[in-house]
Amino acid sequence: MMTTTVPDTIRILVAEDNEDHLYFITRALEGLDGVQVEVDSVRNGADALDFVYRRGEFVGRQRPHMILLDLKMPRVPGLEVLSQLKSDPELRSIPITVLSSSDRPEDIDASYRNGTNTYVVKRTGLSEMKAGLQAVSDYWTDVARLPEPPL
Amino acid sequence: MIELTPASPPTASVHAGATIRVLVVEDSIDHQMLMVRRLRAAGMKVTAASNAQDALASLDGVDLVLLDYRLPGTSGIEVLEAIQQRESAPSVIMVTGTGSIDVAVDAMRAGAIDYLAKGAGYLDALPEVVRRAWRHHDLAARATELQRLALLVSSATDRDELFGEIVSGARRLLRASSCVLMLGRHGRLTPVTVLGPTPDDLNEVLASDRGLDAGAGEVVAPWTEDGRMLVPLPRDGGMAVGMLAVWRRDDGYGEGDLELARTFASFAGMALRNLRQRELELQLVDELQQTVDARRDFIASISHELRTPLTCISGFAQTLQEHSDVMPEEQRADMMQRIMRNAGDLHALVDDLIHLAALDRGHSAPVALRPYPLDTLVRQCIGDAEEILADRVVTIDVPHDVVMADPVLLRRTVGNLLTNAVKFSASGSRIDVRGTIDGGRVRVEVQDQGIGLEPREAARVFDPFFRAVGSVANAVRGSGIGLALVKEYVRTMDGAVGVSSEPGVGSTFWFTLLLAPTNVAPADVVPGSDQTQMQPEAQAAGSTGGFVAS
Repeated sequence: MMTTTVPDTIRILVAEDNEDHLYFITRALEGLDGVQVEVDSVRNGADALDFVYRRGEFVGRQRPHMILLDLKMPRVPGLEVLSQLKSDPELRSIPITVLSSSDRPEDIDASYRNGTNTYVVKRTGLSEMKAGLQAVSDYWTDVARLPEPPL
Repeated sequence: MIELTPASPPTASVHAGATIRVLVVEDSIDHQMLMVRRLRAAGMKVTAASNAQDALASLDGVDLVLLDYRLPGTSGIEVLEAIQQRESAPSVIMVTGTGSIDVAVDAMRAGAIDYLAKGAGYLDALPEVVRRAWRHHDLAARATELQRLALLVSSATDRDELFGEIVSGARRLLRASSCVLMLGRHGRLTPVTVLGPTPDDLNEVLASDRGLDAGAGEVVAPWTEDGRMLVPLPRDGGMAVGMLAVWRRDDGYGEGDLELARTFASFAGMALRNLRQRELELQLVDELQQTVDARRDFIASISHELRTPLTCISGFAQTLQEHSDVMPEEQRADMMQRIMRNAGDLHALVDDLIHLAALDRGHSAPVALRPYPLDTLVRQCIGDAEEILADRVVTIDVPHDVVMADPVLLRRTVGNLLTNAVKFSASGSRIDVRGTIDGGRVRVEVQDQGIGLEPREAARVFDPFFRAVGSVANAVRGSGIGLALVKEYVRTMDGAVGVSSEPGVGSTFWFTLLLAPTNVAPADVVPGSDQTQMQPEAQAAGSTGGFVAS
């Protein structure tokens, strides 16, 4: 029987243009229980793609185990990032969580249509943000198993 | 232009030539021969049948049936009924040997158009009876044609379909070989639909301008020339000029044809006008729908823009409430600052919304423009925006000229453009503010080195709802109504706005202001305040009076 090992440190890419939201997300991720995370952040959709494709200023960076993606971002919107990554046979195995302040059904539906693995509505405050992200993290590291990021 | 293949006419009896096609149904071979001979001698095309079965099998292409009342094994009434069940039934004249009134009444009740007894000399009367019956039938067919068009007047929804119906209707009605519908475009006739072979002299018709100079509501009568008939369509209700050209295969046109054409043209004109009206209505509905959609998107988007700073404020406040006792002082201060900044964003957004609502209701107070030195005003605006410009390199190159402006509106204008430039450009990049004199105006530019706009975005960037719509996909923080306000502010100051932009290079937003007349002394600008003081000289020199800035 094949077994996969849970990685010691999970690399998470956060794509978020609002610096206050990023502040909460980063703090919340760093305080997660039961898992070590290494957070990289980008502030727009173009950089998110560059990061995952390891091009431009991100040449040589390791690919993330999972991605937290905002929808409303400059240059390349989140949905476009999502659809590009999820239609790439090599990269679509990376789990993506859309983390948006929108709870509009249109945004939720569009995100799933474009291949997001899950959609989480942003919560207010550090504790709540942390609780939400803890649940996401528990799911991916405890209940489910993460794939190895493509090399 | 649409080329239509001539469709087979809906009724067999409306045909292109004048030859009447008659079917003689008569079981007596002698009578049959005599009748056929007489009718052929009168120039008609005649076929014959000896029984009901043959008769019903020979109806194709027949205009008129001469039907014997007594046929082997059946009665003429039964055959008449069978004929009338056909889709394009020819007209029937009942023929009997008896001349009984009862038979005549039965036949007419069953739908025969005439009745003929085989009495003495009936063969001599035969061609005239047939001709008269034919005219009757033909009239009925033409009435049907007009009726069809009358129906289209109220029901047509598709241009090409209506054009097709008009030419095919005219072609059948006027027994034409070809029929062309032309509409005026850019001052000349253009064929839109051609039915039948394209006539050699079509260009000649197109080049002619006769009948095209009719005023609205005026009806020009149809006329004939060189074997063709030209039928102008009435042009009222904003209709474009239109003309129907009809070519006939053989004989010319009578007075009746011209009258028919005139009636037809009025129907066709009405149908075209109604269609145009319907198209305009649909267009209006479409535009209204777009406005409704834009507003819905705007509300969704503005809700998001309001919520973003609000969630940040409550998020930081909550975090402070829960953890401030264990937080380092510097982190507490950082959070406080973030709360303040978000509150500032929220404040600015709500202000913008209030202005937009006022503009939308048309309640923006008229302003009296006053003369101010441009550079002083612009420098003050930049000073007001000092905080957001902190990490940008700002250059100012503005002339000293005196412009006609409202200081409050100008401050909001420049403030919005600077905020915009900051939002879409990177920290440390340059923002250049320039002023150039062009004629009686000064043009003020705010140039950034930001992400720029796609041409289609640039075209709509001042649209009140555009940024809101675009921001769903491509938002940077902000209300998305700032530029719409800028446009309104500048318009209020009798100026114009614009943008030139290149994606990845940056955007240059500009607006113009009127230069003050040279003999006008500038008013003072009170620093750091939205209040303006009016100087007595300025009032004397050219103000329109009654101005209180607030």
